[in-house]
Amino acid sequence: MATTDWTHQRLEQLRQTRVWRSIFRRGPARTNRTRSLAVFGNFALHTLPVKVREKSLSVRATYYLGSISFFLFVVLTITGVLLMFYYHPAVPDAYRDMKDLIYVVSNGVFLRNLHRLAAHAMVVAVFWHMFHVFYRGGYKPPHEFNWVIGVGLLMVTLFLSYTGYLLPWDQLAFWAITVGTNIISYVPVLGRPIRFLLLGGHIIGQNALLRFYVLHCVILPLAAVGLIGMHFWRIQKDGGITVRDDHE
Amino acid sequence: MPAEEMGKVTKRLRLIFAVSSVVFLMVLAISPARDYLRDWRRYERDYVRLAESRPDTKRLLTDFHPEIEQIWIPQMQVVDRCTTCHQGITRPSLADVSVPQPFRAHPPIPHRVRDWGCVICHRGQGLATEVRDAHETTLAWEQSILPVRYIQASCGVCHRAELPQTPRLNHGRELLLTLNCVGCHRLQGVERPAMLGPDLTNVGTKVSRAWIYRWLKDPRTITASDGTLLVNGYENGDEPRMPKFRLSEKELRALSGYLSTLASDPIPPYKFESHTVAAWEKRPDLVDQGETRFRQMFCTTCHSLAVTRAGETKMIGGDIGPELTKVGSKVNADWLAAWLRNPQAYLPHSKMPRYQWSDQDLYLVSQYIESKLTDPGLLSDAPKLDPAASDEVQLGRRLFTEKGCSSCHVIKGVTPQTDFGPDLASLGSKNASQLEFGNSKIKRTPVAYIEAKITDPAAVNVAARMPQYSLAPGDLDALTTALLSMTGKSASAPLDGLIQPDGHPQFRSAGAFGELYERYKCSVCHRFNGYGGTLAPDLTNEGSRAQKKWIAAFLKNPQTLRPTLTFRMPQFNMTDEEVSTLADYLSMVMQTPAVNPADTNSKKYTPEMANLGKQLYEVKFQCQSCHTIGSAGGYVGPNLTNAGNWINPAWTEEWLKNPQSLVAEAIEPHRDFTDEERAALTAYLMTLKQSASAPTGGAHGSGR
Amino acid sequence: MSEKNTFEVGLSSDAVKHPRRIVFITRKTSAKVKEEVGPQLMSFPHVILRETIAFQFLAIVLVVLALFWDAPLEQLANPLLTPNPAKAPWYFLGLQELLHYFPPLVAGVLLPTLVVLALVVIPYFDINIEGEPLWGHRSSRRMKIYLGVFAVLFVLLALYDAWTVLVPTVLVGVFGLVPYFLPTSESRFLKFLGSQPLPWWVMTWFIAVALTLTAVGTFFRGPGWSWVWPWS
Repeated sequence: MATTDWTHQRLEQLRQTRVWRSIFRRGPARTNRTRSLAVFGNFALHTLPVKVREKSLSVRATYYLGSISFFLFVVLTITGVLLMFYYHPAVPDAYRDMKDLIYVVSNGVFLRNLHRLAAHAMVVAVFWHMFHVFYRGGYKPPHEFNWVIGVGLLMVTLFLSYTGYLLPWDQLAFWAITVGTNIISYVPVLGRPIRFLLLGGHIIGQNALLRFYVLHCVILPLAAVGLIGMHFWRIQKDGGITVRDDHE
Repeated sequence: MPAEEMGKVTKRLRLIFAVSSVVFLMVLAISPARDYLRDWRRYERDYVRLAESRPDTKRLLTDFHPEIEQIWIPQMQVVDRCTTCHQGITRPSLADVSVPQPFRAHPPIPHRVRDWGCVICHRGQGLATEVRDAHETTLAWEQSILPVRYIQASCGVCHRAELPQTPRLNHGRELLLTLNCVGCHRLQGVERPAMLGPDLTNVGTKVSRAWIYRWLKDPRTITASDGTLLVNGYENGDEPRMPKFRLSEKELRALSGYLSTLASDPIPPYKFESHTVAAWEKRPDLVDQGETRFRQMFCTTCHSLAVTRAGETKMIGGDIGPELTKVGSKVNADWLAAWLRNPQAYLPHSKMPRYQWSDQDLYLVSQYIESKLTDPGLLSDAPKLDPAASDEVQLGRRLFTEKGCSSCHVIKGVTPQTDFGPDLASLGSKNASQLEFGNSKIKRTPVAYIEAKITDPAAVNVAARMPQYSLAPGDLDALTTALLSMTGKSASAPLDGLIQPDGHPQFRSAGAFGELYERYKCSVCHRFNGYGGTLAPDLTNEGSRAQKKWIAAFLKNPQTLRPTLTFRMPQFNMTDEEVSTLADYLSMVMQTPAVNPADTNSKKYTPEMANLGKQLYEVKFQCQSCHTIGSAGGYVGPNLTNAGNWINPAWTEEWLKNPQSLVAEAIEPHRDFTDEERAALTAYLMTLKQSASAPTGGAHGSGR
Repeated sequence: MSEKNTFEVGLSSDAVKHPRRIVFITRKTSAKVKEEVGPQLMSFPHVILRETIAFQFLAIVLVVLALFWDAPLEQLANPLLTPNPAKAPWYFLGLQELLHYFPPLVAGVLLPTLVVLALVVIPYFDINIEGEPLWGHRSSRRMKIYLGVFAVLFVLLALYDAWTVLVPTVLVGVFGLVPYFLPTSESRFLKFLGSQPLPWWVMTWFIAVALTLTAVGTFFRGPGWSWVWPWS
């Protein structure tokens, strides 16, 4: 116990320093007031409500699916940025970079595995999240618009995963994207122009790779971040998540 | 709930948090730890240990760095990391077999490992730093390491011309040609020749339906009644080019029926004067005389016969033309006489010379062939076949195209096929996924596929159209090597010089000589400016070597030359005019600038010089130990009895200066004669003349 | 929720005597005006702590999987070498499976667009706020519509040989009928089914079809999109 006290004392001293207080203006979160301040005084946490209903925290209420989707996005962002250090969106350098990642880069395989796995997992998590919310009736007023944002996020997630699929520039990537983009050309009138716009040409080549790269690494992540922000914000503004009575 | 309770966290939650935090941090450390334990680091540590156990530790560890090593050749787009583990490859002191792999030094080769890397020859994945990925077929790299027995294939990727160091590859390339693979497949660097199999436009006039049936069933197993395996016949070791097609009984009947009706453009049978024939027929020794003529004409220089002596059957004769032991039971008598008179009338591309026949010789020889070179039991295992019905002919005509026959054989009016089988020009760089394995049990690798397909095409695909070849031991490896060398790669800049024009230079001549050259097919046996056969002497410099008179006399009557040899120049029965045309051309055109007749024309070879020469020949240089004059001397060098009528003095002088400068493979020792000695020896040799008009000396191929 | 809704609706045409008004009283109110009660907790530390634990659990699972499962990498892309079958990413394999049965315009464009539209309009079209069960009234008119829709779907799918759509459709359709015929069953599962409203059934049907199609497309389709067993 003596050590614990000692640790607490040191911690308390740290909290009293000027530097600490310049970053965290509140004191220790020991009262509800300071706890509230900890949330809305913090940039990262300010989309959270200060108080939540106890039953909404139960695992069975949400399975934390929304959070997990978001965490996967975070994991993907971190691993993705690291992967960008080793990647050239060019033919055939892209494929060569995969080989270097696997055989030369320290932890390269792990990084790539993690990114790929998290990408699949995010698609699953987002779908699951949506179905779960549906069955809980979470789309009902006043959450209608947040549901619509959620559908938008699903689209962005799918598109993110799909654009990332091409980047290794292997047979799997090339033909999966070929099959996918062929479907677009079935859209009446606009199909072929849309496909041309997406691929930067009539076939999947250097231009398509570059476009998918920019979409995957810049445009879609930005869209996702914007939508995620709105999504979180609206949960709080719409009065918290929907909790069904049968899970009290 | 009281306000202060709203912020309290249960102990259980705190515990979960603590545990999950610890596990989380631990799990994050696994990957870096694993990264440190990768294969290549282990091999590098092992290498250091090996180096330390050897006397030359310091040398073995110069340039060693504990990191990934790579050989980078940007022009060839090669990045090889093999030397990361194969540390000893360039260190000669590790060449011993006792050095464990992967550290053993590479055996010496013409290329420097540092300049070329490993995968250009060995294939595999040079980028990889994992043992399995580097050597084996993986999903991400289907080109596995090339088995060592096929390594010469990699030489052939760049070296399209023949290399002395790659016998297996050379043999394989030759097989690709002789087996007529190019009939159905496109191959890299192999042109489609004008003729692959015989023209069958008139085959109905040549052989019977039963023979065709038996031949199609399996060209390799036509057996003579005495048990010799003969076809047309080829001896066991000398297979016919035609492979075995897996044909059903119905197909055999249809095809043989169709082919036996083919006679759209026959050569007219040669009409002998009936009264003279009647006179010849009266001779009791008709056939024996035919045999004598057959031998005198030296048909066996190109054709072989099975000869039984003392209970042992041996094939005697050459292999340029087909074996003839039972040919009398195969071909039709009328066809035979017409063929012998003018082979090119029946097969324009035939290599057989067009002899000048007297009617009597033609009749005698064809009678001999038709009555002596026979075997009534030859087709005993063929069914009795009536003349073909029209539906069989119809089916046969269709099958001729469907089975790919028209890829190698020409029939007037049937469109030839040029791409019946798959394109093999880039077979060597194909991945397993690009090959059709079907449901076969074959290992899914390109090498296994090629081996299986060559050995037994039906094992890969029951419905395979590819016929069955029977290969000698070693042929499979050679063929596989040659096929693997065809990667379809076009030469990149640094390799341009290695790739030589395909095929051989042709030697063609127009005018009267050209006509005779074609008629007598000189280039089948003789070589002219690097083109032609190697059975008989190279005639490229014949004009510099031999005297014109000697050439003329030899052409007129070649049989007195080298009486002990089987392969002798056939007697073509040339006319005097033909002889003088050939002798003129050979002596005037086929000359080498190295021999200048003007050098010796002005010289006077005096008897004194000849006497000195005789002394030098017999005493100082002891030439008789190899050469014969008259009846005394050795047999290593050519007989010089008639040298004065045969060899040009200028050639002799040049030859004595340096034999190898004229004939590279000459075995005559290079002696340092003085100018005087050379002149004296030449003078002596020029005095050696046989009194008879016929040239002799067995020395036609001097220096051989 | 199993109680019957009781509406009292008054309507009078005499505007002088009775000013025109509609009285609409329901026993339950929509979520918008529902007062939330129940114990509350402070987000800090409760939410933060739980979310952190959730993140750590996720990360542990991901990292362990990433250590043992390698992301696939095939050969360098080669436009001249088409794999058979060429498959889209797994989440589009349901679509690809549909393309196998229906004309591309329907399967590739119309159906996905409709699905997305349907997802977007769900909250605006679900007027059954209270979640009244599908067979709450045991209305025969509803049954007729249900059977009609079911029959049309059945014939349409059978016509196109779309068995992988038909099977889950029939399964869900039959399950949907069970509570109608067994309204008084004591089985908990049947009671659960009986209490589900129409949107629940539609979504369940959608998920069943989507899951079947995706699974079939991923595991059971081989060269030429023929049926193969994943273990053979």
